[in-house]
Amino acid sequence: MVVRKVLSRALDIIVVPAVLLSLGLAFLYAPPEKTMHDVYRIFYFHVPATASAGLGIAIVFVCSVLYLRTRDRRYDLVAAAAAETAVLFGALGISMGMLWAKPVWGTFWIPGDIHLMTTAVVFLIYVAYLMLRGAIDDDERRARLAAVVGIFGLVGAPIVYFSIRIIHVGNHPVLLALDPRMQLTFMVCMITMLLFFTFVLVRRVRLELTRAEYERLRLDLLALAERHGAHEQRRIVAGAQPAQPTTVETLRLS
Amino acid sequence: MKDYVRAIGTIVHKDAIVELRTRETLLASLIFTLLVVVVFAFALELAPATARAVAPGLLWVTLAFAGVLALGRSFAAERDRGALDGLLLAPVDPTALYVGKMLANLAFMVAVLVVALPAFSILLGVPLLSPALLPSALLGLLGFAAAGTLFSALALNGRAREVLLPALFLPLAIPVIITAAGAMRLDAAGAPSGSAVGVLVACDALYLAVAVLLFGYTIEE
Repeated sequence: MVVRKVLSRALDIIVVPAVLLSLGLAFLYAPPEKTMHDVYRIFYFHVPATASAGLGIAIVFVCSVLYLRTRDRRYDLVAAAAAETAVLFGALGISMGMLWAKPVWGTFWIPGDIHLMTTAVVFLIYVAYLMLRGAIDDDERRARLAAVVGIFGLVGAPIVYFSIRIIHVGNHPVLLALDPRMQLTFMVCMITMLLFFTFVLVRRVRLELTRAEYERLRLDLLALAERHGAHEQRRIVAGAQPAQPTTVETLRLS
Repeated sequence: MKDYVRAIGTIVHKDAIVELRTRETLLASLIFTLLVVVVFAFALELAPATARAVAPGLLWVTLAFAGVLALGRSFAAERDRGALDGLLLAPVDPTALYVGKMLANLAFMVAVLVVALPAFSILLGVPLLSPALLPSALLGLLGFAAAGTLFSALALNGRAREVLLPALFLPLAIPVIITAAGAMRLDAAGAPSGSAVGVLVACDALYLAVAVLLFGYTIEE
């Protein structure tokens, strides 16, 4: 607990200087590229953002498996937070890629390019994952079904990659020959982006935990209120479900 | 093992009887398929060479949407009158329920395919109705039904399940659609030129295995 707090605090402190350092390196220190000149600098943010999204969906997968094994609600909270953060970073990565593609390829999007298609499809899987979460009210059911999609999604992702590979060739660039200064900048930017991703993720998890706590307290309060004379409403439920109306349902009906 | 197979058989039989007596989903899907082919034929006005190139893709788009129509009904129909509870109470392995429903959905899709193939061949003038293409088409439908059955059960639980099912399922069905359409491509002479059957088999196997593993979690109540 203490360790976690210290780490979280350290992350808070380190993120802002790391972002500033990365911006400095990417825009001032790294040399312009031979053919793309300054336009290529978006690479220092485009690649790390997409990689962070990849990390996010890996976290969703691991937490989904752990949730189904342990049924510990906290794994579900982390999975939800990771999926949201991954979709955010994925959207950023894709938009930056499109911004980069316009001046370099002359078009925002190449239909049928393997990297673009794969990324778009995987992105849509996790958008649907969030849709599913939004469409289910019951906590346990939402967690369980979301975990199923979280697992299936990551199994699907590599298949998407290979299936698209059959019929299309890619022309997505892979920058291999990097100047040492570019390499350094890239490494720093990558680490910064991952730190930033973790930072957002931790915030998001904390928010979810607070929300769960709030919900628990609210239900406690409602239960108390009900004991002091909500017998009228109880009768409504008693007709439909003679077994034992739960507190929550009774009050939601009213 | 024998009981397991019998349970699967019973579920397929049940679905077949329900469908044959009501005909609601099958008829709707078949008419939908024919309509789509006609719309494609008129809207695109394809030259023969272009038609050959795009026909497998069009076929799979049609199958995918007709399939989503059917999959939406597959578990929803069980849910409506509480039949799902009965199925879950039956002393059989939940995976038998999955396999049974999957085979029923597959049979349904094959029925759509039986109508779609001649319709595409005639209205678009592309020889898709060839025995050489049949394995790819069936393998594609198997993968489609394998993932689709899982998501059909999954989308039951949400609000707006009609929207939820395609949104969840279509991104994951894309690999099957792409590989199956790729495997059914025709060359200039009208002979099949695709070579994606291996990937299609791998895709089917993986989807089936993962869906069987996860199905139990989607229906437990």
